[in-house]
Amino acid sequence: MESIQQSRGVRKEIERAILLLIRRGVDAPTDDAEFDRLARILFAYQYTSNAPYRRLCDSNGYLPDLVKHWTEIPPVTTAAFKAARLACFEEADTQQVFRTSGSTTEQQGELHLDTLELYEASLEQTFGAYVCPEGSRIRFMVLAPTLEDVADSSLSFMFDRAVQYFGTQQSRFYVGASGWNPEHALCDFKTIDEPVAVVGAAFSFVHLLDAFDTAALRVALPSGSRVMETGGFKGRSREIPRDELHGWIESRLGVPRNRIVNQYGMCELGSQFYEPSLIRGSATTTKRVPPWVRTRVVDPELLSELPTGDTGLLVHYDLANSGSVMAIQTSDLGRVHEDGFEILGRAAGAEAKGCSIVADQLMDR
Amino acid sequence: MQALESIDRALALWRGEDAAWRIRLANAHALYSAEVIDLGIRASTALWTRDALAGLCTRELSQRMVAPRSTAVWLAGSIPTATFSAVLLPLLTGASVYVKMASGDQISATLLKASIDAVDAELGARIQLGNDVAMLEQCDAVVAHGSDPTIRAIRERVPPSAVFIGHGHKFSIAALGRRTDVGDISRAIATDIAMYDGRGCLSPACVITEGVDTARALMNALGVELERLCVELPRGTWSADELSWIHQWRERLDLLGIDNLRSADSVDWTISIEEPTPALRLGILRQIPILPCENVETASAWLQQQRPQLSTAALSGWDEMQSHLLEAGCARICDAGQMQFPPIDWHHDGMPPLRKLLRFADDERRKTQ
Repeated sequence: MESIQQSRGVRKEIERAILLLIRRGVDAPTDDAEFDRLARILFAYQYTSNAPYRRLCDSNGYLPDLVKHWTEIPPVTTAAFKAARLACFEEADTQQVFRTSGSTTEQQGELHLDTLELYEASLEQTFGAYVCPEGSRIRFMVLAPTLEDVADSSLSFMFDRAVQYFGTQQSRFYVGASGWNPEHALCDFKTIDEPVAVVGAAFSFVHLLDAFDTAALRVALPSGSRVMETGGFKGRSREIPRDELHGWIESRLGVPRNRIVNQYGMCELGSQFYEPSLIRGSATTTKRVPPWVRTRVVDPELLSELPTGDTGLLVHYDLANSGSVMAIQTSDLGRVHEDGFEILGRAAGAEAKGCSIVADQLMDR
Repeated sequence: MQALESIDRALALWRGEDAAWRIRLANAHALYSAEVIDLGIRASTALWTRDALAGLCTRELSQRMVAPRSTAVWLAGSIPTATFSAVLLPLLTGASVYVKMASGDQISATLLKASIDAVDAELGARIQLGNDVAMLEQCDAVVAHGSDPTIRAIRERVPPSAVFIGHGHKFSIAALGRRTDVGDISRAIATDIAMYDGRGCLSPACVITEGVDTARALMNALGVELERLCVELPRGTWSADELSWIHQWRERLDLLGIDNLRSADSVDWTISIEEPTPALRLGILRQIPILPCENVETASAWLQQQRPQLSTAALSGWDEMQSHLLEAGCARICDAGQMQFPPIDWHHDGMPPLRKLLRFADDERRKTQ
């Protein structure tokens, strides 16, 4: 009992320090020594409190005493969140569960949270900085269901909080529990007379733009409007290359490319990454990494760090992931630049390279 | 018979100790190591002799059957010998063959055609390589390989009057009973696992053992052999996604505390001992689960869940399993070490290799003289 109390005390203390770091904002100087200190304390806590993660660390010889720098903290892959409950607390203390999207037959990944404090703080800082940098409230047009409709969607949670923090009372969600309602959206798009933030998953934009084409509709959203799109398409709409999607948004909604922000996030991470198009005034494909996160690129086979500019798998170290595992290895290929990182696609091949049914399953994951 | 003689002469170009065509393919294949390709072609062409081809023709071709004039072969996957047999079988019936090559292997069919051109230009001219989907509507027969959605899509384009054969993606297993000497057989099982890096539908995606003691003994012996094969039959090119999948595979074992043995400082191979549950993840890329089953009934129950997808089984020291394997849909049972080297007349998916392409034609007239 005493050790649980002690453990909770350590957690509270480290979360307080992480919260201070997050609240300094995305432009605060990046202090590597501070990040390293916090990351290693957090790793030691997660090693102690998260049994499956400890097993993984022990199997590979990663003990907190041997980790001398945050880069040595062993990551888990996003698939690990499907294989085990990676939480540092009792199930009864769970406040929120985010689940990965997927088919009903596929096992879903789950991020368990016992507090939303860091998650919300990170969201507020990054969303505010890159999607609502003016600091004033804006009308949101959300192409996603509400949190009430999909309680385990990190996307709906994000938009719910974004509307709370930055939205006007006219903000609206256009996808209901029973699905997409293009009539309502098109009707509102025709009459918009103030700047708006149109936000949603990339596949939702495909549905929206299809509805625009069916109705032969083109609008020019008022100056100051912006679009934020995130996520992929898999199984939800046809796949459209990013450049084509952005061109389509530009021509149908009248929002120029330098006001389209791509966000990169995942259910398993407490923080998200944004392209700073709005604050730069020009389109970019580089995502900014907030000061409480580090991103490395590793060799897909050896998992050793690759030099800046080389392509490999992205690994994120996110201090906002205090209650699960802070180091997450993705299946996304990318490269790191001085001012962020770039996604070069998922590591998946276009076609299974074999006639074994297992090769199909490998590509479908 | 002209085609048979020419095919035999062409295969001879691949069969010899220093066969230039085999060496050329081994060096050019993008996915597999030269050693793997070399063994695959040598072992298969050694079985595909003139006598084997002639025996197949004698058994399956008769005057009452009409061969298709043209056959479209839609390839998938990356196994050269699978490509070879898919092209050669329609040729043996007398058909011309239109070959749509797989994206994972553009070279095998190209070199096979070139070797046939070299011995019999006329027969070579009956092979056409291309990517024209209109051929699906024009050929008398279509043989499609691929995933279930691919086969469904191809089938939709084929006219009802044409013969359509679909070979979907499958997987294979090895089954070892307590009577097996794992020390003796581990080399052969390791070869089955290592060949084509487990990508083929004839590759074992798991090993079923009778009892946990057999599983543990096999894991240790197999580890030694798979490590040895890293040099003798090195792995080929694995994509970033495949490597990422292997890390996830290994991580799952660690997270769940599943007993395993793995190559050190590389992702070359992993062996795990896992429960035979319906949710079991099958292996590929030399990552192989061993499933200890207490008895035939336990093994059979698991196999029944895999029924539509089972292709081949290597069986050793467990004769009682034979009928259960067949009941579970297995179309071929062989010795360990032979899984990747089926004879030319094997019944792929339980179908006769040539006869599946033919149609019977009856002439009921009385003989007048």
